[in-house]
Amino acid sequence: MRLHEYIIRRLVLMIFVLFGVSLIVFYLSRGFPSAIAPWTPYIREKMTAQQIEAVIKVHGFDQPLHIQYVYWLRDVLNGDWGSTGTWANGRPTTEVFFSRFPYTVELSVTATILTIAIGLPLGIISALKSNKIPDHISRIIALTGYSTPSYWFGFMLQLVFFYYFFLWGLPHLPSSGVPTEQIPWVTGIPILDGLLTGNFNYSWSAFLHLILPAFTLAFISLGYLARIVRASMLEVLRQDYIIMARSKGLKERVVIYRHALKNALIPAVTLTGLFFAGLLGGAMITEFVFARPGVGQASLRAIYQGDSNFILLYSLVMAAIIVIANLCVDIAYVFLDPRIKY
Amino acid sequence: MKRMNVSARKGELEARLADFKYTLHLLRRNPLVLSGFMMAIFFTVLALTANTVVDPATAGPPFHFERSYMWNNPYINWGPLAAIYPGPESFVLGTDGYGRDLFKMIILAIPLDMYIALIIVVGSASFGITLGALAGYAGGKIDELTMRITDIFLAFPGLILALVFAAMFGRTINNLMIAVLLVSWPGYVRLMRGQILSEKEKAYVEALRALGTGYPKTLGIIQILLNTFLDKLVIFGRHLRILLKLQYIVNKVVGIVFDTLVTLWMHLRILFRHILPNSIYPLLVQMTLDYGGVILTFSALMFLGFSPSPALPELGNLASDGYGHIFDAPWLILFPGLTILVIALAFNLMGDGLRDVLDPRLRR
Repeated sequence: MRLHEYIIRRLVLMIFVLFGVSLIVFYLSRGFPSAIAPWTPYIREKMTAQQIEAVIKVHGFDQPLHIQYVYWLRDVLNGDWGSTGTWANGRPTTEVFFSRFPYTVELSVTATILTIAIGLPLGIISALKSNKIPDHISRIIALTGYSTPSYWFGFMLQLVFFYYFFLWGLPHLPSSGVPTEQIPWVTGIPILDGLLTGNFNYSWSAFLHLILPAFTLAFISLGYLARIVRASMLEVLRQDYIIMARSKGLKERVVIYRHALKNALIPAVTLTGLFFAGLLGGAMITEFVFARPGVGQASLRAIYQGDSNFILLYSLVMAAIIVIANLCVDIAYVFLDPRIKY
Repeated sequence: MKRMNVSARKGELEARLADFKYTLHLLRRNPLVLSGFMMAIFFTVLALTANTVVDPATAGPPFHFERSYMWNNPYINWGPLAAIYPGPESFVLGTDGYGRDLFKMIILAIPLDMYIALIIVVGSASFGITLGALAGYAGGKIDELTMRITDIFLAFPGLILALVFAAMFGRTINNLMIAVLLVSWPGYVRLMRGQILSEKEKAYVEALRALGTGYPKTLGIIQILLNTFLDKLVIFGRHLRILLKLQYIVNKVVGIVFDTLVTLWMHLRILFRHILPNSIYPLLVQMTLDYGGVILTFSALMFLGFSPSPALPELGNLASDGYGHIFDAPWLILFPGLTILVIALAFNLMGDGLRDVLDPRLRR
């Protein structure tokens, strides 16, 4: 199979996956009697009974579930994702989603960078000193990372770096939220917007607000990266070409950083793509803890209110990102590792 | 394998024993894995004797799942204690928002969490392993279909599926368990399928097929008996032509049915008796690693407000009770969260060490 055929095949499969995701979420979020009727998001305060009746008819809420799905699909294909519930004042779902999405992107990009910056050296040290003290320490950090409840860790960071630092009179970080100042909208990502509009104070404040949540998110995933780097590094170090390089009389530093690391990084580099996708979806709890107005926190509020429109949009966009990230990882493999072909 | 002679068998057994001893040696050499094991055993014992630890005077079962999440759990002290009262003056870890002794509540919560996580891990693993093994072994369209369905579940971001499920079906313990199960099974399918795919190409599987391993003798005997019976009818029967026709049809139908059943049976037997045990180790490691993750996921659901009752002694729920008081009573969230961390860490240490020890590439 040629590469472009493979990509096309995967994209076709993506449509199938998205269809499945939408079916499951639709069934779960509309199929069961919840406290809130599914047409609530479409209804305004001053509507008469007839108008409500008409809304129900237009969106097919009086039909059986499978026909409701067709109605929903029709609306979506026409670009109408419906409106949100009272938690976002009934604004259009897409508007709410994409106004909040930059915050989540900012958080997960920063967290990914932190993950790589900490996880990679940790893994390399672990492999080079395998089964010695540095390996044990790095293993403890990695395993503690992915054994930590993120909500708990977030609150603990708030407690120490905001509350106790404040009590001790040290420079403290903001506990939660994002800078409240209003600045013109360029990309929606606060740090970038501040830089682009020349408002450096705003950028700095946004950065300070970002440190704790990003570290919370990164702390949980850096363990995985460290373990993977360690495993692949150990495997590479045992291969013949490394022995060859050593027997040529190369310095140990050159052997490790020029020869071993390059090949050991292949799984790690590709994995960061998956991390980014995973962090986008996993930012939910962190955003909840740090009261960041991202899509994860929004989706939690939507779930509390049974707002199926927003949940559907959120899970479809996230699923698409995850599938595309997977695809990118597979393609990246081809370029990074000439042994792999499709 | 049946036809192996006794000495060869003995040799194989000895080799396996030596291998096992080497594994134990590797485990003993690694202090972290050992401490993980110790911690896991400690928490398991604590969970099994939680009620006795909390109240040694009360006679009764050491742990009772149904009772432990009821309002009238006799082990919870609803005494007139001061709510949110700091430690260690009268209570080791202070009291929670309901005036209960936080230390006792955490001890009571440990068995509930560990029990639920055990059920979820075993449930999702057995489902995932069966599905993955069948898909990998069958190949073709069955494999394709299974993997596409698994892909759908893998594409869900984070907790969203579990949250939506819990929100829609109502907040009972059982629904929450199903919710976490929904998120955790696809990983096993992928892993198992991969294992089976590489294992089924090995020579011994072909040898097993050639040897006719798993041919059900009883079915063969039944077929012979049936035929003999029909033969007897033919000999004594008057309507020879009809009987011959009947025998032909019966033989044909029975043959098809038997053949299908026998082939299926033989395949399943080779798969589950021979291939599966040879490729199960990575899955066991994954289960150990997953155990900590499941406790985290479940307590996160509880923390996010999907608890069936705000007074339920569950670690995530206790922590959720505390986050409103993060700055004035930090112990309310500190200690339950720390307990979750330590339990998850114990099982992760164990699983991580097991993976290193059992992985043939990292072994020597």
